Amino acid sequence: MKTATKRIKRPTILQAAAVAGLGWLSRPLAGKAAVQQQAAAITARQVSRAPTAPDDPAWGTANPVSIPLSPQNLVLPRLEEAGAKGIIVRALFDDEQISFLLEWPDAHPDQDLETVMQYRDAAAIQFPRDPAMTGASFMMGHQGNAVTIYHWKSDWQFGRLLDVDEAYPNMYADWYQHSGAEAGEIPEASDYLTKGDKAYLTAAAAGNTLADPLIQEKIGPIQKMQAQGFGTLEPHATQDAKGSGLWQNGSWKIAMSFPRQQEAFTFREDTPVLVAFAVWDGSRQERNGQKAYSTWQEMRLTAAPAPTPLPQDQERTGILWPAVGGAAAVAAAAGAALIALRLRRPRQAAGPQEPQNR
Amino acid sequence: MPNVYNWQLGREMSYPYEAAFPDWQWAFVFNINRCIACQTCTYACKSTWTFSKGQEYMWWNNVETKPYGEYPRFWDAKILALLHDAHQQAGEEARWDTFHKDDKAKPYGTYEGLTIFEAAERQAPQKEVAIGYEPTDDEWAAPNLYEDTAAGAISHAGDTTLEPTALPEHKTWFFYLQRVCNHCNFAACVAACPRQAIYKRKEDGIVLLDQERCRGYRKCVMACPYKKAMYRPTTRVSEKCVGCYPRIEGKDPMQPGIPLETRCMSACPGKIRIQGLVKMDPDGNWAEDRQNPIYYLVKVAKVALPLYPQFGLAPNGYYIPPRWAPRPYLRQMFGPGVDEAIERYVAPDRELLAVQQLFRATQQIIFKYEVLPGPKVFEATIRGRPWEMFDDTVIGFNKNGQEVVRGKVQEPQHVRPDKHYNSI
Repeated sequence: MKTATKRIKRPTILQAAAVAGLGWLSRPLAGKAAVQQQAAAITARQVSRAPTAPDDPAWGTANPVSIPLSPQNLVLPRLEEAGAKGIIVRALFDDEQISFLLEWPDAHPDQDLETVMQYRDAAAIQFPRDPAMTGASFMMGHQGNAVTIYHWKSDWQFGRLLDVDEAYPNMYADWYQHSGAEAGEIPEASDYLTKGDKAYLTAAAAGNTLADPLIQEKIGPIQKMQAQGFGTLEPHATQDAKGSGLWQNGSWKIAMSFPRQQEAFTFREDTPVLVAFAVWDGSRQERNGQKAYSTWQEMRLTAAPAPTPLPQDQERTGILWPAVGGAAAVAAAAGAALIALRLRRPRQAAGPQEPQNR
Repeated sequence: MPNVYNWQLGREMSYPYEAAFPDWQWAFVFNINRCIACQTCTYACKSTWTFSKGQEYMWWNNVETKPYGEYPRFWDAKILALLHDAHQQAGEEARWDTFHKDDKAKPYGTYEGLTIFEAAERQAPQKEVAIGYEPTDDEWAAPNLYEDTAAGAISHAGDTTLEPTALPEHKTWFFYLQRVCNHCNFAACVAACPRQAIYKRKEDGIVLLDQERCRGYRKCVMACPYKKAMYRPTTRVSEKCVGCYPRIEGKDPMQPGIPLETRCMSACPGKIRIQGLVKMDPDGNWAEDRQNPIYYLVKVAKVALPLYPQFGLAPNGYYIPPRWAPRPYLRQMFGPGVDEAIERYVAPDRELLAVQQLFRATQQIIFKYEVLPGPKVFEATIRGRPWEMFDDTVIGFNKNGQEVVRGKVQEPQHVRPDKHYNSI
């Protein structure tokens, strides 16, 4: 019995260490290790009211799942190393809405786009427009098999009206003709839309939502979009997202909430849906296809009762990030996983260790 | 990547898209020798297109003093350095074979080095469509830094003779480089845009940036070696020179239905600029159009040369190089055709002298010219050879074949009688 006990204890301790290693070190795995992680499905739990704020205590009832992200290096322009190595995803739903909380470490919030080299922090959730049509590419869908994307943009929430005079407060211009401002006044971009001539805020006049702070105010920081392959991203005709982002203690938390009823399907308990995620780190000049992204992840909705909420700062996952590293963490985690598997085999071979159904 | 034929390089090169060419191509010739850097072109553009908020730093047209002036700062030095590094890494040399030429297919010989597209392909792994970089705010901020600053001025500071400014090459020198978007045949901005928001128009080859489709990724800013795509902070997307397309289309209310030169061209007081449309062959070369002034200057007289042809974009701006600047510098900038171009320019034949009178002579685009012979009015010896000048008449015709300008080689003169000599 002593021997057996030892055999039980040793793997248990090591396995715990291995699990901890995976949990603490490698949750945001990168590259090939991503494949190993895909088995962990996202479970959206039912709540009375799906939250729309990133600091809503209801998120404590959600099941956090760590999704590894990889730098997009398959098509040009490629990214060799992304700022975000992974994200933690939580999902909750109520009768009408489904909500996600995306969380990832980012040392610097980037919401200013007023100078030529500044890029926004952003995050996106993607799912097939019609999950019944299987095979949509996780890389922006493809022709005839579109994807729906909810895209949070930091500047749409925090920096909508920031432009050159915020970057250069001492600037002066004699007169901005057609802006609606008097000579000597520095107009806002929105002035061209409200009291000037829209034609001189050119992209806004062309209907580009990125250029129109009034449309952005109306939509909020999360824009619904659609795509059918690379380079086809466009705003969706329906804008139905709620939510916001919060940068705190070196991490972004983004709450995105949208109707379960989508144009071609409904997020339901009996219908697993593939979802994918992407994150852009503006400080690293990530934009466009140069992003950190995941492959498809299976998501299920469950009405099973949620556990008692934990205060978020005490959650296990809330203090993971300092340990998140690059290849070293991946290697350590992979090694830990191997150890765990090796040790598990003899234990399983020895038969059940605990009496069952007695 | 598909291969396309770039006649400026005298060879095929790789480019992300299959070759497709417009029916007509927007093109221009600038005579550097005449420019006084008054910046009237710069302000003609500014006051037409880029006077709104977020466009403060944008100069779609600029004139910079070479060799030190650059807008954005260091643009050509930086891209040349990137290209140089790429050659070193690839074990290649950026040289030209100038022994084997062909008037149509390889007028300057063959470029045997790497273009910015080929240099990017040699990267392992390839990250971008073309090698390039994004200029910083600081680099955009001083558009005319080093104006009138000469190279060699310090090394010849104690020289009291005129030797530093003796032709054929001044030892103390600078020249003005006038720059607008080149509306390239193989535009790097078009190639680099991940969402095809930039396109080349079938009717005139003008490269436009779709303001609705652009998402502000700034890949065009990064890839354009001439740095003529620019990000606008008030709209979060990029903009670029539009080639004054409404004027090219004949939509300027000044002369409805008649193609007009762009604002920067038609405003030039120094008469250094001529802009027009050249007919294109399906293979991307220019169709024979002997009496089109642009065709004549580039293809027949060969006095006007593309800017940095080795980048591989087949730019549609052509320059008559400054006759006093050091040739190695000019060959780097305009390719191996420099020596021949200067030779032709300093002792122009009758036709070249006549065609030069068409520069900025009318706002209408000249599609055809004729030269009527006139009497000999002057003779001289230029570089040891006899040279004669004739007071020929040049006539320019617009798209509809109507005469729009008539000028003479010798400017009209009137000698004031002695009685009124000091009158004003």
